[in-house]
Amino acid sequence: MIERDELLRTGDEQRIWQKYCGFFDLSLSEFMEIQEQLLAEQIELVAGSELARKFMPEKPRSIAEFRQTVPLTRYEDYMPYLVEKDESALATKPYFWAHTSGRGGNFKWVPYTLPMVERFACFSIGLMILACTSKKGEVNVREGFRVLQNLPPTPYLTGHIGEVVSQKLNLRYIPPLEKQKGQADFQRGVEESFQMALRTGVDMLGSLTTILVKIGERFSENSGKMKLSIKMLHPRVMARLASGYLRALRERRKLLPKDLWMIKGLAGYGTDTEIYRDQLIHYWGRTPLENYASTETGLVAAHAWNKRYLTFVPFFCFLEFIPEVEYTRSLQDSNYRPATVLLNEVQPRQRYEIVISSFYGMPFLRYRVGDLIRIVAMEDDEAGIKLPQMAFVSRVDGLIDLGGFTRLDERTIWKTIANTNVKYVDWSARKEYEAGKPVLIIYLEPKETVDAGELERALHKELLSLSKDYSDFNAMINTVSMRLVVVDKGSFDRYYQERRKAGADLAHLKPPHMNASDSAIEDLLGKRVEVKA
Amino acid sequence: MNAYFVLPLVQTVFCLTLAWVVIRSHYRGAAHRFFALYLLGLAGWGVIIFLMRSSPGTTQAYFWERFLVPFGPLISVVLYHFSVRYTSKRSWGWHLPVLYVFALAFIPLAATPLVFSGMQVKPYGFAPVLGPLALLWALFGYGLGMAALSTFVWGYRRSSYAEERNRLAYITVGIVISLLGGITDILPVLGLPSYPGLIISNLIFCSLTTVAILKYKLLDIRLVLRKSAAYAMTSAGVTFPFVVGFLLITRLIGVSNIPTWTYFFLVLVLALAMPPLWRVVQGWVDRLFYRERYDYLRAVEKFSRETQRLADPEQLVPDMVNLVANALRTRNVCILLPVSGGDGFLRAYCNPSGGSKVTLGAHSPLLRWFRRSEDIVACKDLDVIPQLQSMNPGDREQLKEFGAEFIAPLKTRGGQLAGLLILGSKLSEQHYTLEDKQLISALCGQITVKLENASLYDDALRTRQNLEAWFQAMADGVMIADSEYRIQFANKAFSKTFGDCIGKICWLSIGKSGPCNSCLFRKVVKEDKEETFRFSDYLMERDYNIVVAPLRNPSGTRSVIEVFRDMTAERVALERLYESGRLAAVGRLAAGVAHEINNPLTGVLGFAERVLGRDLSVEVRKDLEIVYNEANRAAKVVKNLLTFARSHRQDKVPGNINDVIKATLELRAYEMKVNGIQVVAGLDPDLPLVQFDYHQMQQVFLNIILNAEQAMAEAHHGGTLSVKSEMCVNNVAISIADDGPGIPRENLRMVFEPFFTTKEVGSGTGLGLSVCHGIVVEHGGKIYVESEFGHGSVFKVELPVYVSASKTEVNAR
Repeated sequence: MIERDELLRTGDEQRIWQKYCGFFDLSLSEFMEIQEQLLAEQIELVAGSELARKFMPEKPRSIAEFRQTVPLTRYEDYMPYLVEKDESALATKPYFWAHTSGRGGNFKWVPYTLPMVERFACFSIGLMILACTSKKGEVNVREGFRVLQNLPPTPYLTGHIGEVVSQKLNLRYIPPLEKQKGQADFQRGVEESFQMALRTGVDMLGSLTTILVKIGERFSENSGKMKLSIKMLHPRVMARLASGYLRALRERRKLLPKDLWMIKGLAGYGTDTEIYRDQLIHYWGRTPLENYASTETGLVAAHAWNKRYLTFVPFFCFLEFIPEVEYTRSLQDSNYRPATVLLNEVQPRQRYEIVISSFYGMPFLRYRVGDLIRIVAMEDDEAGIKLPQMAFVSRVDGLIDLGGFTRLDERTIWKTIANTNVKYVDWSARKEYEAGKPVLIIYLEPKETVDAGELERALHKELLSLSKDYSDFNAMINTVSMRLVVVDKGSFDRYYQERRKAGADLAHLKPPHMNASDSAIEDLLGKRVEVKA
Repeated sequence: MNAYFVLPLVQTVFCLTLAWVVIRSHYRGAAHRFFALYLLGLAGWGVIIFLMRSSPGTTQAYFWERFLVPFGPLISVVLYHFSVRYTSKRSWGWHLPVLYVFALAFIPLAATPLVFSGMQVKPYGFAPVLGPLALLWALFGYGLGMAALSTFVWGYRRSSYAEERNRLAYITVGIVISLLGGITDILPVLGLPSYPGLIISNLIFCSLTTVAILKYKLLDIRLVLRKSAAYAMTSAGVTFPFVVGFLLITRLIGVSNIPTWTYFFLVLVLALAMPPLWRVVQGWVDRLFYRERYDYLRAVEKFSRETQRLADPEQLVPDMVNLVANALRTRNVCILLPVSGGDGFLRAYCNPSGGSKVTLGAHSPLLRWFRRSEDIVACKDLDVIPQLQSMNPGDREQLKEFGAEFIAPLKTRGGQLAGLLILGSKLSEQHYTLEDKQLISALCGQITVKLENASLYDDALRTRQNLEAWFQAMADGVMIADSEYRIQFANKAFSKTFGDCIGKICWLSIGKSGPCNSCLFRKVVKEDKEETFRFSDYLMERDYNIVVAPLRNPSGTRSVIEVFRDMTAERVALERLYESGRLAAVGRLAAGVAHEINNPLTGVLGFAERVLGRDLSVEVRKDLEIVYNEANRAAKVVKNLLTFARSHRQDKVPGNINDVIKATLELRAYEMKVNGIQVVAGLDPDLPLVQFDYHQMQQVFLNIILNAEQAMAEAHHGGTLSVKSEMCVNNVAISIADDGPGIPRENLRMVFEPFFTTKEVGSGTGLGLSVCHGIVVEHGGKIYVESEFGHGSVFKVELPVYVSASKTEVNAR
């Protein structure tokens, strides 16, 4: 039973902050103490369950023994139990099952226990508070807050958590959660939510970053040419539009979303939030809050109030890190068991693959999430946070390795494209071979007509400056190892429509940005592609 | 312009300012917006009132007064709406719109004389003439004011957060003041004497509410009210005698024109008299208004007094739990103490009416937190403090079941966590106040000191017990004497030897008639030497090594500790060792001598025998027979000497030594009976086997028994011969005791020496016991004697138990 949170109603900022955002004040030793205590409790809790016994036949007597004896696992190890939703194999009866779509079309079901749900709901409120402030200790969130949320509905985790948060805190969702639940078409739901927000106003915006950018772009492209509809005759809508236009006029620019909605907080979801950070600030007037979370892990790290780096959260899962050397070796040798380090052993500027063990009776033990992160700093001096800071790099399988040492991640390519200021619909990149030499191919659909050669040169130049690996590789082979394939207009939309018709899951409606399969590229281009090796 | 005109303007400016503050605050929620609207309404009300009051005549005043007809109800509805939004009270969905509609319905009434039918002039200014619906109008406004008041009271009762309750209390007090002010506005209209106070009361209400909704850290409203009332009463209490005194004095003087110096004098006198009076009045008021604080002080005093009486450490904690429960009027109290040798807090003492026991594991985040923090933690904050958010659900459940509201650390001066005090709800079901928390802190300090003292006492007691146990367990006698030789302490070993001697003079206790000559007591005590002295003394017929060391008493005086080690056994053993060595040397010498004598003696015997075989004269034969017999005797002596020196072949076989003893006793049974000697045999039938030469061992026992027979016969023509065999560690021990005259101390050392004898010349060779010694040593055993002159002798023979070769092998493996 989810209990209503009374604290926000009392308005005691100090205690509200301490409860929801106080973990930023933890020291590293306190962080590790919490981690070890929760893992010890997790071991006690799950040791008797059928699923845990598969990896942990004997109950480990210490954390060190746990790390020594329990093998590293992947979702495939849990599939027989979780895909079938076999609750008898679990330690604790789940409160709900959250759905997530893995790469390559492998659906995942993850059981969520009540304590984990409570914890997630609590930290979701914390993220809202952080999104709505730029000062430590400032709480701008209150009951009755209007939240526009464009995130996948139930059975996705975001939908579940939204429901739980609404039980804990009297929030006003736009559109209401019941309506979101019944909404079959996600894209249509997004449009409707913003139309509704014109009338109701919005205090906080939580949405996929791509959606936020797209809306911003649409505003700047269609400014002054807004389609009038009967819904706009509502006095509130008219007042909002009028004040928005006046504001834009005063600043002598086109109408932007920030003129219509003076939001207090903005939370961007997706790995591209950092790439579009400046654009989001421009369109929405707020710095987006990022977090690193997934259905399997829960919340792993979140931006602080200064929205600079991601700070680790101790309460969701026990964190281990596979150093780059180790995971590279494990990629080459599937039998190799890579060593892990703990958060108090990580080194700055190093890349690690994340391994988690769930808390609160959740099923995952030493689970390889498949994500690469980089430790950007051991502390955040600006915010006074004494915990290591991280940034998401890419999926382990989302790296494009051109020449053994040239690893390009999704963010780098994304940032490269963004830095050229080309307006595009979408893109996809992968390694192909030309005359036996590896080449990075970027499939890009521009919104406007572009000079492909010029754009390719611009991309190459940006990539040289953003990636030292790429720069070294090009210097070594003394040639440009990147090609741009300009995709016909409407290709990505056609792909989307076709996949939707085929009943594809939300996460697979678009071709993957990195390492798309031959068939995906064929479907995108509408023709067969011959990959030369 | 007097207050009558100024006040409405003040209200307007004040309310506009407050509205601006509320609107500009960083959080602008719906409730805040409604309050801002209310403030704007009041500002408008102020403008209307000002216009009405400043009107030149009743007609114009009536014009403005009629604006109030719809304005009043609308403001009241907004106030009520604010109360509903602020307290988040769920109300019927339709009732607020209905109220707004009802308020709006007063707009057309403004044009009619139904509410106010005109204006009248009162001493203070204009007042409305009430119309037929004036009562409804007033009731509507007042009713909504009361409804808002009840909503805030409801919110106050419902809230479990002290801060929120305090905030709601501020607003409630404000509304009450506002409603009372409203009454003062109505009374003059009804013809009753009163000055219209609504504006002032509204200003108070608006100020209090603005502060309440914008500020979080508010002073306790009860404290504010009490302090205000206390100051007012104190001032009144002091002013009254001051005025009375002044009046009396001026009356007594009886003149209307009082000289200026008189005023100065009066003020001086009263100023001198006032401080004590002020203190007295202050004391009364304080007692009246701060009763709780007095109760707390009394509770702390009582607790302090009661805990001083608690002496039994075992009973200390339960008693303290009950005292805390009584002092705080708390239902459940529990003290958690650390487990000795562990990290957890498992020893829990709860008051009898308390709930289930609470225990915390060693890794509980709560313990980690309190090791670092000294603050009292409210249980509802367990979810707030990040370090406690990971607390085990089991621990939370325990605290919940116990009904815990606060957890306070018991910290020592060194910052160590000595325990936890867990408090449940109060018996009165009221919330803990700030003063309660201060009292908890004070009690925690007291408890910690008491626990520390108990712990120190416990440690001291344990240390003392340990020391005593160690002293008492010592085999050496230990005695501590003061500078007057008086024994202050003696351990068991000392008391056993020298008797009960505590308080007695030490040299008297050890059987001396004066301080021992060799004792360095005086040197240690009187000369204040720090050295340790050692000496030996012969006390109570035993040898002692004595160590004397100075002790400095806590009072600064000197005592002496003396350790008496009985060296008698060691000395005897040492002597035996020395004797064995000496005998061995003698044996070797004897063997050499015997060999040397044996050869010529053989020649003498042989030739004497040959010569005796010849035909000799009687005289020569007689002389030669003497030569032969003496040579034979000498040969026997040589043989015995060789036996002593172990230089002959033995035929040792495993057997029961009891058989040899029995046979020897049988051999001498007749003679002993004749000599009046009674034999007491105590032979252990379960003796293990011993490897021995039957005849040699018989010779040993025979020698000893013969000596005993002879000694007893000489002493008192009979006696008792006690023969005993038993196991003694790894040996079989045989003791043969007689009740003869015993052996003088000076002879004890020589009994096993060859040729030592106390018998008359010719009646013994002095080789019997030395031969016994040789035989026993040859068997790997020991022979020794214990004797006290005049009390008989005990000869003890110890022989090693036979261990077969196979058994040895097994053991070796």
